[in-house]
Amino acid sequence: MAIHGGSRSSRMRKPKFAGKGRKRPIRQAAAGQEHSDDQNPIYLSGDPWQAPKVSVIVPVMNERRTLRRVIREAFRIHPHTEVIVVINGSTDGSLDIARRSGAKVLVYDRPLGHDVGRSIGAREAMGDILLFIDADMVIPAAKLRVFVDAVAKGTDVALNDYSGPVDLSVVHGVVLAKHALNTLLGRADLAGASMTAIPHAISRRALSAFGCSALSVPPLAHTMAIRHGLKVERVVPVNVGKLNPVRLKRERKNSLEPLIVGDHLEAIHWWLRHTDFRGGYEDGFRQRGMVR
Amino acid sequence: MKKKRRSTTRAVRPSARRRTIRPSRSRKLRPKTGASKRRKPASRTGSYADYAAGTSDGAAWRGSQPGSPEKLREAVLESWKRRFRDVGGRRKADWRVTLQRGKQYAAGFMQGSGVRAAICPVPLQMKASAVVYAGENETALFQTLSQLEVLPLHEIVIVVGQPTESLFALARGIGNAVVVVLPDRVDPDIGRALGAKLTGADTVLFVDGEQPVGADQLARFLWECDGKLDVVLNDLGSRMGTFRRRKGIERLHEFLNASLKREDLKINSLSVLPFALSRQALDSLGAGALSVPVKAHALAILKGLRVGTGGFVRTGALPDYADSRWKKVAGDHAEAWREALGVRGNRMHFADSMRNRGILGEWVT
Repeated sequence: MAIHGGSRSSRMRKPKFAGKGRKRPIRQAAAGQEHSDDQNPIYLSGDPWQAPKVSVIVPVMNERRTLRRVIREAFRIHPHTEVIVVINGSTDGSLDIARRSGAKVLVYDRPLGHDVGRSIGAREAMGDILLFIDADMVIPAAKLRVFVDAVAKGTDVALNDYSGPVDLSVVHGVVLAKHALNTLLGRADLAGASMTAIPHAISRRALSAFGCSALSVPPLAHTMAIRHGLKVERVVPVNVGKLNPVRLKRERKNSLEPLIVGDHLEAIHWWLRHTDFRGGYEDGFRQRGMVR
Repeated sequence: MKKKRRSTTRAVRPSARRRTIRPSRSRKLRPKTGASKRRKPASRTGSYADYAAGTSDGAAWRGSQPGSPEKLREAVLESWKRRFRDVGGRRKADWRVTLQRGKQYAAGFMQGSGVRAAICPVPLQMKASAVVYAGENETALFQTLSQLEVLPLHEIVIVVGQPTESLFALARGIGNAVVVVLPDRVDPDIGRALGAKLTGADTVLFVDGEQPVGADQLARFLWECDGKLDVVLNDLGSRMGTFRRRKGIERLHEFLNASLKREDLKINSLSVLPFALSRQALDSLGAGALSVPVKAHALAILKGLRVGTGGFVRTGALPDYADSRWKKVAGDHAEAWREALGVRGNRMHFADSMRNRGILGEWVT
């Protein structure tokens, strides 16, 4: 493993394909934070001696295509932002892109497994607010900033208000699992919002409540946050389902569905061990002793 | 564990396939039952043959003895069972056809004998009974019992807590009733569990005393349980609408099924009436398990019992978050998952083989 601090010498080059695709104007933050639109991320990360306010964690596994743009947007979120890129099992040159971007880079030769990069990144994070995104999905800084702002204003876990396609009679297993877990935890108001989905931001307080490791099994961290009485809210919708054709292909070949369903069960398991045998729900007036 | 696959012939029907949006999931999507509406009705000649046979059998019966309606029911059932076994009683007979044929036969029998009675002739091989927990609503109980009377039931166990005189009289008025009077009102789940303990039948049908259901619909539960399934559920899944519009409780039902790898059961649950249990199910679960139906549901699947559906029956509104019954629902699911996690491990066989957890050092517990 190697850590590369944001080296001052490497300049962020203008992305080769910057002119391609959708262009979105990046709006100034409504909260009136000081904010620069300068293209140079090093400029944005400010004085290296000042602790960053926001840590953006980006696990990467062969996502060269979008990585540069993802990092660029991450740096634009806040003047004091550190971007932590966790490269694992990448062979496509993602590492070079990350090194040139001014981000902190953690490198692992082998794949860490789904979402383990989030734990690794969170361990190195120094910011008060941690934002988790994926490397294969370019979300404009203005949108990401909303999650960070929510945490700055007191939310502990700011979730993507995206529940997946629910206008079907049979929904995807992951969509079902998310809704059911929230319902079981007494947070049906969260609908299908979950830490499984990016983007989401968390407070330092939340991180110390559930620890870095739990972030590898997002529904577990999600459940712990709710159980610890942290302020878990859905913020704005970012339609991550629509953004990624690559994932659809992967989904067909090697579905993550069983893994994520298992994560939810692991979360329920944890929850049941930390409540009573009915998950804290009363039994009503059932005279169970009458029938044996 | 055995999964029931009755719909194999239906799965290849082109008309059904055209309807599905995603063919890869079509098998999962297709309701197990409930699709019978699209099926061809029994051929005219077939049911006429049954009617004709009924007429002559009825006439012969009338000649042998004076007929009362009770005796008639018995006679129709007996002779129809025999005929069904001998003539076209295929092992995998379709329910709608079976019911239709039975009704034709019974109509013929009544015509031939000149004695009339309401009757729902289901050719059951084994002894069946019903368990009802009576609520306070006398009218509903009366309607429920009058539907049950029509069915080929060995006995009807009626559990009542603190009944009024008239309610008690009503329950006692049924010929084959066993009335269990409790000093206090109890939770309906407890009442039914007690009732289940008191019957030795091979198939036990559990019905709601407050929500009358037509005999024909109930008959199907008996039919499906008669040597075929161990647990027959109300097939709410066949009319569940879109996910967005469903209630929290249905999401819990659905995820419980999915986590037990029985997605095909959709939102169906043993916590919804009516349902039927086989002797095998009752003996292996124990009547006490019915005190918490959702847990019994999970247990039935965990024990590898044959769990399926017996058609859709409209029920009262399921409890939602604001409802006073909500905590019971949520807690019951907690118990069900606790049971399942205990049996199948903390991920219930949805293994995590990809993550390098070792690298994280200390792991939360």
